[in-house]
Amino acid sequence: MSARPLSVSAGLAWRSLLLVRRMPSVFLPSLVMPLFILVATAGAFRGIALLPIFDGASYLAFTIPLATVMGGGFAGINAGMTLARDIEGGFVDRLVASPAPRIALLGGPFLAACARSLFTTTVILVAGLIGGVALPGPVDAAVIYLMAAAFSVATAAWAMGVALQTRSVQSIPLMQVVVFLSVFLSVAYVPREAQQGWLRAAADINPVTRLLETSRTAELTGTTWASLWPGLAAAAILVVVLGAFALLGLRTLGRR
Amino acid sequence: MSAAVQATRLERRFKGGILAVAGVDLEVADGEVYGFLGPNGAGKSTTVRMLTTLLRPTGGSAAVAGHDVVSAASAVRRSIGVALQDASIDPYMTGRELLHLQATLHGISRRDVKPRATALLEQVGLSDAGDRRVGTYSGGMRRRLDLALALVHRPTVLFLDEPTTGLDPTSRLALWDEVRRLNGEGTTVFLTTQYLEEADQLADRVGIIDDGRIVAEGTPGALKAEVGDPTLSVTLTEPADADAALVALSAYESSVPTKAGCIALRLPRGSEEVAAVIRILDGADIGVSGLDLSMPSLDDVFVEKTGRRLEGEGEGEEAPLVAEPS
Repeated sequence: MSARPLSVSAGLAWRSLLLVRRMPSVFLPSLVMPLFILVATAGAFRGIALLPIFDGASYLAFTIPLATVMGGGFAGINAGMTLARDIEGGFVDRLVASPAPRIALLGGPFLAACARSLFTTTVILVAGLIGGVALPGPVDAAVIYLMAAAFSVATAAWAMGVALQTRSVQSIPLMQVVVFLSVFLSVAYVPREAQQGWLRAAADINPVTRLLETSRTAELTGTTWASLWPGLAAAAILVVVLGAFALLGLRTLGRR
Repeated sequence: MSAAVQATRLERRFKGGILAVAGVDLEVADGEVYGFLGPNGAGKSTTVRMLTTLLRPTGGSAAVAGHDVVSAASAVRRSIGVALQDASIDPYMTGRELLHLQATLHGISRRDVKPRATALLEQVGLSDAGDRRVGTYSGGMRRRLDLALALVHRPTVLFLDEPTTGLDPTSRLALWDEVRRLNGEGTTVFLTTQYLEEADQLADRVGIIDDGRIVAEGTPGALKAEVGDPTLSVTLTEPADADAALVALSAYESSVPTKAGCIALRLPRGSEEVAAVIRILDGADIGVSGLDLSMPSLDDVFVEKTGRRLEGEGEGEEAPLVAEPS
């Protein structure tokens, strides 16, 4: 009998989603926060949309990708938090002592983070619709979902890597602060063209900028190949680099 | 008989140079119940973590079910069931859900998962509680579920790490019965415990680890026989007769007063000497109101081998009746 990575990943993803349902105190903030970001940001900064650079776009529509990507980020951070708790509590020992492929210990939470980001993205799009922003077409919607899901996997890899290296729930603030910085040092509030100095330089090299720009183009004007590929490339880089970081963490299991 | 568990100069050094396991040699035969005793910090959990592939050895080698714990870790994991004391059971899941997950981890087909989970819940007496969240379980129920989880793939070697710690006597006895039943079916059991009585009751052989080294190994009977003779505690009708009793029993060199009106003596030939002691006291016109014959315990073995009592022990164990002869 040997366990297949996909079926074990699915089993662990099922467990993660079960816990989401049974621990609303953990799940609700990660749903409410992106909604709050959407409403509060769009409300507070809507005057910015009067700048010519916005070309008449609604600031609520401009903010939707920020909220969906942040929703993915919260889902990913949650995967790291759960792993840190599982390591401290000893549940990971149960998984590691089984013959399940270790890669599935990452694959399961990745799947769960994706599923959660899809749900949060749907809620955000519906909230936008209520606020007067029309739903994007199927291709554009798929791009918005994809960018959020990619960010959820990237942040899950980051947060799980941190959990595996530190083996402590005390590392949760570190997981969070890096994700928040990566988002807020991008084009979270204004397009790159409106940024100057070091903020602009940071946004230029920040892969999250590309995710947000790809998602934002899908939301505001419609996806083109020119707008899509930078987002896909950034997503691939984030997932590969942070995935490698998580894999390195996985290799430390049993060695310390 | 082949070895289910074999370790040769097994060693584990942690960062900072701390040597937790300092060259353990042990061999557990197929079908045996092996009791692994030691106080906290002696190295028993580290040894078990290496044998169950949770921790890499830094020296020596070990094989479980014929597979090397480093180079064939996956094969080891397929062969063993592990119920670790510090491996938590997710309180937000039900017992049945956890069994399903565990079965998935072991690659059991979806078709077989349900009946296997139902059978295991029944086997450990949790059929009625199987669909309740584990957070509502008592300590004994959690341990039984932990055992069921360890058995989901029908392992040939079962590692139980302090399986009855914190359990009430009834739950403890029930778990002992289950361990005996599993062993009766041919499962090798590697049992770590701080309860000497548990090792005495269950183990075919016992290994005592202290400071990362095996300091004694053998059957409980042989280890106890190594330590010394049975002791007889005699309670005198008149406490004032203690000195006279000691004189009368001077043939027994280890006779010493323990508490007022009570003397204790070692009996080199065991219980057959009790009658002789009574006759001597009767002949000296010394009345006896009580007798208590006690065999050496594993606790005595532990004291003999390590120079101290086993940490956390105490329940159900009596202090030795006889002080060491000066």
